[in-house]
Amino acid sequence: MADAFRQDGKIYVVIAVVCVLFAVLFGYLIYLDNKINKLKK
Amino acid sequence: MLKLSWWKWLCIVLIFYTLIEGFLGPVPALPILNETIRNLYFHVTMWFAMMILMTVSLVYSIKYLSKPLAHNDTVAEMSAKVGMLFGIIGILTGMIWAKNTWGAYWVNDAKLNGAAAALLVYTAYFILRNAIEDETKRARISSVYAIFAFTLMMVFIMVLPRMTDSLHPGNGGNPGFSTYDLDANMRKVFYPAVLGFTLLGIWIMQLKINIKKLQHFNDEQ
Repeated sequence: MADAFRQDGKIYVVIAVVCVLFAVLFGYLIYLDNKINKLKK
Repeated sequence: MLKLSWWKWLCIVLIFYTLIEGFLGPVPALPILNETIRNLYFHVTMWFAMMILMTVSLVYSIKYLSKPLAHNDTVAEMSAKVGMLFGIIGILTGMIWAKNTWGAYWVNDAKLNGAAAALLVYTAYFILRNAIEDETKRARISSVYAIFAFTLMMVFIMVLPRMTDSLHPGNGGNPGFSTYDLDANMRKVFYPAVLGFTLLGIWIMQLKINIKKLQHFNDEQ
């Protein structure tokens, strides 16, 4: 189970996809953060 | 872009650590659960984050009652809203997990029904808020209700499931988080994951608070 999951190697593809997804989401969150802070001033 | 507070960077680092270690880290090989045990990092953490955010809401509601500042009420409202968001994600992710391990999206389990009831209690909190026009009245009444809602949530998801049989670990005699059953390798991902998702919730909460203050400022102009 846990070993076979990693043996085929392609789980890295999923991790890459999930990391890109979160990188974009965080990028957007940071953008909103800056925008709201600017408005606040 | 680099002017972010340290805890926001910590949040980003912890979530990426969770994503990478959550998929790659060693997990115990258990029957039925198989690889779905990794959902511990993504499903259970939602409920932990929700409970921490609801605790923030409780604390600020009590703070409002002892010191009626609009800020205290706004924090109480927004933390409950973000907590609710995590609760909904918790229910949805739990349903997928339940379908694949227990056999159905919804089983008649004390913890599931309790979680649904707890979300309804908080839905009533938001409805109550919208129903009162007067700002100070709204803040005072909803602060009192928030204390009641928190107590009910704790009874529904922490107390009642432990008093009957439940499919959830840690309830009704099933093993849970005690020292001997949560794998040491999983702890190394689970606790940072809880902190990471909680910080993400606090981050969104802070943005919502600022938006509300801006709106308020705008209305006054």
